[in-house]
Amino acid sequence: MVRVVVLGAGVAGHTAALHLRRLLGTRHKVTVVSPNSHWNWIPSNIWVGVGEMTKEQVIFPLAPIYAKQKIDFVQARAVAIHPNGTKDDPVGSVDVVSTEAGREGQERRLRYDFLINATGPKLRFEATEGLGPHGGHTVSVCTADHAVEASKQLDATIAKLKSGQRQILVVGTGHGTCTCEGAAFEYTFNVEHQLRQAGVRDKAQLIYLTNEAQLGDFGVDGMAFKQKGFEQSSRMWTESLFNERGVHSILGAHVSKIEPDTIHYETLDGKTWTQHFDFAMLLPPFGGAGLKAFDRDGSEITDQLFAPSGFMKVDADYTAKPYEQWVAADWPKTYEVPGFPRIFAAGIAFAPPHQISRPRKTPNGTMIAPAPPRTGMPSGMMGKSVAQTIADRIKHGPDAPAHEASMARIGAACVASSGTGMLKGSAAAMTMFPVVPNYQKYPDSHGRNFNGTRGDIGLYGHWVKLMLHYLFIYKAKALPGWQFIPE
Amino acid sequence: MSQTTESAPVITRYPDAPTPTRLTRFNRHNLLIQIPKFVLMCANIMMMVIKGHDKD
Repeated sequence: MVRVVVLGAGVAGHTAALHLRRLLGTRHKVTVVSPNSHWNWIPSNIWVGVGEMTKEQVIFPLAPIYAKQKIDFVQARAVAIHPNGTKDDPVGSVDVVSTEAGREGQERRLRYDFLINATGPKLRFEATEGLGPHGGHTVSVCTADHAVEASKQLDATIAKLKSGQRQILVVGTGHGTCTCEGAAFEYTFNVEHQLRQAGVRDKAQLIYLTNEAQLGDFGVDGMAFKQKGFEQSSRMWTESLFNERGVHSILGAHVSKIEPDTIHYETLDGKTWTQHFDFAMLLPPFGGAGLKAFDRDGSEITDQLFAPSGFMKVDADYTAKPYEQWVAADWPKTYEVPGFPRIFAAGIAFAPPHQISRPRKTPNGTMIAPAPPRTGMPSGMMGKSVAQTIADRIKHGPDAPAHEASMARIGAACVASSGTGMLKGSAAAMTMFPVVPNYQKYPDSHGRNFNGTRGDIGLYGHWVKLMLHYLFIYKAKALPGWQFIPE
Repeated sequence: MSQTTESAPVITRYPDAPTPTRLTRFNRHNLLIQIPKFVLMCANIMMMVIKGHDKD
């Protein structure tokens, strides 16, 4: 019996676990370790954050799903990996600390033959003073609970607007190195929709504050589309939308401090500014989950497995080089950890070799560099690919070739949808193919395939987002035929 | 090119960005146009899923 341990039950980890069970049958043991008792379809947190959906519509308990699938579920936080075993035991193992009610703090050691690190991000609110809902002055939509709180605060702001008070609402990124600008963009237009629905749009100033140097960058260096015989850019398309909806913007910003009603930030020219706000949803930067690694003799080898950011080093080219020399081939394909052939990292947990968007520094030395998004569709594809590799190696031996899911080959859909119902919603829908521009393969179309890279606004994008919501939750619940729903 | 207020770098308008016409805005909710676009986007996503696993 082979033991596969999956750390994390987000899109990558949960997908990997379900496919492992499907591919391996019940002869082998699959264990999922997650500090959370519930699965959360995070893209729909945006709708929870404006009160269009309830928390219960975007989460479900993991334990019954895993029980049905005969997957062991350990509700705990992984804290240390022993890739070469310990002094008394040569088998690889992971130390976990329970987060289950009644067992909080209890430690366990889980032995593994294969390990998938899919822990997702640590939400680093502490990177900016005053950021976030835990003792800070801003709200977040990163978790379902955060989104519920964001919705309450938005309701309170709308109530003030209705009473005639003018309000300033700021939505965006809370640090110069944040990722997921697409989520902030989507929340901005959901808030704008709510303000219009409440009849108070004219009394509110809505500002999108971002670390992107220009609108439409989305942390992926923007996109070029071919429409009606012309090349168009995501920048032009996004700027048009901002004009149409009267949303203001602050670009290339690093938020350094947040006081109860004031955001302090620095822009790319090195100048520092303040912005008053009445309501602010600012995303935090992401970091690795903080796992440590130890050798058999107890010496720490964290730097062999993890980058300084805490993300796991995989089969990428991490050689430091100028932006102009970055190529698609730098990006990992198999997500194997070099030197540790039984360990993989998928989803946000792997360390990207570099940004996709051009990183910039202010004259003061402050880094303003949108981090690469690696959530949703790419995460699911990585999880499945890693599961297939492990299943093949268990069945056919360690030399079985690895499956590949490079972000320089896979695409992603980003749908920023607002409103509810089948006829009242609207969405800005984008697809990019591939996520990481591949200038060698697509030299004449800005590194991406024009056939797959599109941007449009309309009701149909809203239908796509609704469809993805229901399909992914159906799939995550492992309901009949789940395996036929693509990642 | 963008317009900013004097007190802070808040961009209030992008003068070079195109403005959608009334017909464009109408078409964004026209079911006869939106239904085929929905089908095309689903096909596009499926194409990305299938081709994403291709090797160079």
